[in-house]
Amino acid sequence: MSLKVNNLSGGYGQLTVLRDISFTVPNGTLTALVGLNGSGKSTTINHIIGLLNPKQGTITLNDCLLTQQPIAYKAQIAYIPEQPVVYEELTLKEHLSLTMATYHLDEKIAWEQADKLLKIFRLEDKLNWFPTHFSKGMRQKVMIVMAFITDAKLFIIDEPFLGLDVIAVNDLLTLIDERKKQGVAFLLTTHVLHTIEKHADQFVYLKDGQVAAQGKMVDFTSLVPELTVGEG
Amino acid sequence: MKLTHLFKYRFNNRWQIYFKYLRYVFNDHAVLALFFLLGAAGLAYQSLWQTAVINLWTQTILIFIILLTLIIFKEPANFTKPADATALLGDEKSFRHMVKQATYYSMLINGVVEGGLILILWPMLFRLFTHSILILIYLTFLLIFLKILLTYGIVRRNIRFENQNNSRLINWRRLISAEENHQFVVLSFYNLFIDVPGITPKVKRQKWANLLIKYWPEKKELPLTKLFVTAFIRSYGYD
Repeated sequence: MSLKVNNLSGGYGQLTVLRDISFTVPNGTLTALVGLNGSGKSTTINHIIGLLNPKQGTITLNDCLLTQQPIAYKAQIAYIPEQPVVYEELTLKEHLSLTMATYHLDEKIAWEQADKLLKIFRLEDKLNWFPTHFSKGMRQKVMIVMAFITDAKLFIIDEPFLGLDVIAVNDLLTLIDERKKQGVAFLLTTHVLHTIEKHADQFVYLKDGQVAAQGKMVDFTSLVPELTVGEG
Repeated sequence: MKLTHLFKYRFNNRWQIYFKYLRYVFNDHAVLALFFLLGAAGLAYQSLWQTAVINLWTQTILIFIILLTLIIFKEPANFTKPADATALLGDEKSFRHMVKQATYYSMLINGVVEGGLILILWPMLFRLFTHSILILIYLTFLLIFLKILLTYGIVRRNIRFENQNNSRLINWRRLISAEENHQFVVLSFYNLFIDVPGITPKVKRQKWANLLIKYWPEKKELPLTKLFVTAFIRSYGYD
């Protein structure tokens, strides 16, 4: 069981950005979705989380077809956007409560998990603060905590490392590795390849809205030499 | 907060904010001025009603005004927020339920407003078209029904993608964008009376002014003048 993207074409309005994209994100793996600016990474993500309607092709998650069973499909996903978006009127505690309500989590267990995550990301003394007043990095951490208290089967993370401090980056990668062992699938977009290469199992390289290369992470350098200029 | 009560929560929140700002709109001076304005408007309307010539021109103007009532107050509220696309992803059922309730609310409000506007026009309708109360009542209900239908149609348009086909996805981005526009219009009104936080002026290219901006004289001693002129032309909000 996994995320399957088959022959996906789509875009914004009349503009077709993605052309015939196919890839799979198996359970228990981390797939890095890479590409230059404007290659279609965020557009692909927006299709996978159902914010855009595919013009052609299908997207299924554990046999749930997105366009026909959107409610059941989305209930399995946690999404961490590139730009953290929070509610102005809710405190950090209320954000977490909202997430627990959204994903129908057991509050006792969820709060235990939340407390652990808040300590990891050094937010434990900010429960009554308003995340809208946090720095970008701190809001990013709020998004991460909100996602990781869920029991989602698929995590979609858009450029998670921008704005995060080094310790938080390592903590996030540790969390990802732990969840992978529990069978959770991760799809992650990033430009910071050297951070992810030891943790990703496979990659999908997008170029001009098409899959230009995909394969195991160990083959990345040989398959996509143009993206490893200046790395390591 | 239970997500099944999301609409109620947001509705209460929204109207708390509106009531807070209404205090500044209906301050003492404004209330006094409003009384005078309403009195003057009532007198003018009475005079118009008594003296309006019954001919094709006046009837056409009245029909035009009636059609205008269908165009104003037609945008529905859906109470979504930008963070919903992320935070409520896992429970789209509750999100859809909230949008449904917001749609009913908008249909009701817009219908009531339409009814109120037509009631105001009743005297002119009575003078220029018909003396039958029954026909006026039918017309009023017809227009209310049309406004409700129009509101519902706009919601349906906002929910669907251009390439919907038989997909069951709803267009969250469009819904959220529509709500942001709706809120901008409402809060801009309050912003005339008091600074409303979070109102960011919208920017539009205004192609007609491109040449004016391009050839606006730049002076060394006033380097920011051109910038201010450009902002003035392209921005909707002026402080």
